[in-house]
Amino acid sequence: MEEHTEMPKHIVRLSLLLVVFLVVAFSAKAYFTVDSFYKYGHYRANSVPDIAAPDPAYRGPAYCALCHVDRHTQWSSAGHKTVKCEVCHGPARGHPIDPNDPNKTAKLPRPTAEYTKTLCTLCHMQLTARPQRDPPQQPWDPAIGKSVPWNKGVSQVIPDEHSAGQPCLFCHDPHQPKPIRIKEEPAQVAQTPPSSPDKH
Amino acid sequence: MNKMSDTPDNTLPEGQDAGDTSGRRRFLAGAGAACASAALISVLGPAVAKDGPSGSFPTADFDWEKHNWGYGIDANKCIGCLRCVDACKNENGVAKDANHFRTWVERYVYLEGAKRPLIDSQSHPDNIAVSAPNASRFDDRYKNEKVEKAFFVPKMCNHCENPSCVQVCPTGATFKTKDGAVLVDKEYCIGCQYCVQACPYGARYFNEIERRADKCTWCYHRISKGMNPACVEICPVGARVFGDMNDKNSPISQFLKDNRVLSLKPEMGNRPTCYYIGIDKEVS
Repeated sequence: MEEHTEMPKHIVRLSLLLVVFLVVAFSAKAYFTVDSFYKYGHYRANSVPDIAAPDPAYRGPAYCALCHVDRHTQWSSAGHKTVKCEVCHGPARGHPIDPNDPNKTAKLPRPTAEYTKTLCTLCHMQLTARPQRDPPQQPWDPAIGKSVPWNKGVSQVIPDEHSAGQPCLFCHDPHQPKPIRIKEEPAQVAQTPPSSPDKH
Repeated sequence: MNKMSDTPDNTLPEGQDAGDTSGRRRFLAGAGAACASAALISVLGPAVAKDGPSGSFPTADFDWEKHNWGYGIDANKCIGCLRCVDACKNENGVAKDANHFRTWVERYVYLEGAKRPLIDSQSHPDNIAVSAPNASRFDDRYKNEKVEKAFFVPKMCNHCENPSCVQVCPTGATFKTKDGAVLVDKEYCIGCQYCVQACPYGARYFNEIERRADKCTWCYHRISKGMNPACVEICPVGARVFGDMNDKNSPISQFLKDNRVLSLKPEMGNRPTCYYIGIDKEVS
């Protein structure tokens, strides 16, 4: 039986082809991989500065206090001091300088009196699973949730029963919710709405 | 193989044998070395070329080597107002419908006598009574039921120490930063959604407009400027806590020191860096 001592030609060609392929492949990879890839790991490091670049939308109460000093003082000493300005007023980006025209001022949309019925009840409407405040402002109904802890949470109302459909703003200043502005029964308030509810 | 290894023992003309074998070996060794060096250059080349710029990364004012972020959620405090969800959407340009979110809130309700809770998630549009922009809220669907126990659980990306999403990404488009955040490189994401499927927490969503996977970044553009993430900034009851775990006085360090914390689905081995207190056994 004859022994093959030379490497067959097709094997040599195949090996050569493989080597050429590998060299081309690795060169192509080195060429096409962007510079910052593998800098810190298997990702493009330059994407991190891109992700860190955008301008924040929410600026925080300190930013608002640069101009609205009195309002900030009132708010920060009252019961709503944990509810920051932008929770109700929306993100401050683009205010006060108009992002499209630096010579113009851009106002934030002001919540209307009617809209406070939507806005305030986001937190203060009685809701299953919402932790009740201690002491509860409303009689606590065991059917709603009797073992929910009472030591944390917010005061909750059933809007129709509480205000007879009046906007929250009529009685409560959102910046200083207590004491209420009109000390009458909610039913009477409903009959005689104040003439200027827009005292914001 | 046997034939090859037997070759030197064969009775062939000496010159031919030696020359042929050594030539082949030389060739193979040379080819191997060429391949190895090509691979080495392709792997190390960019790193060697780009390494050594002085200053901090990723921005001039922020060095990610110096931070180790952590996130705390106190479910006892959450009132389910969904202000975090709307703030996140405003901050990060997330679609304002109920199926896209980087953070969301779930409601667990045990009806009287029930062994298992009913779970309402923000991801189900029928749970949201008002879908107006910036006024998402839970539907009060249990007001006529007898509820034994109920609570809210805010959820978001857990920024795991061993993130499944990073492991499955075929293009290196998602990664864990040195300071602990899991981010998505929108240029390298090909939108295959492996990561969306891999995440045990369902924290990722698909951005159909940009055709890429999207997720919570801990508002990386805010934390790298010394601010809190938008959800932490806006939470009216302080249910969300964020900070640098390297700093002993940061809110998260205090949170971890003062409480016995849990993480979600520890059996998955992802080692989340979002820590919970006040959740129940059914929460996962």
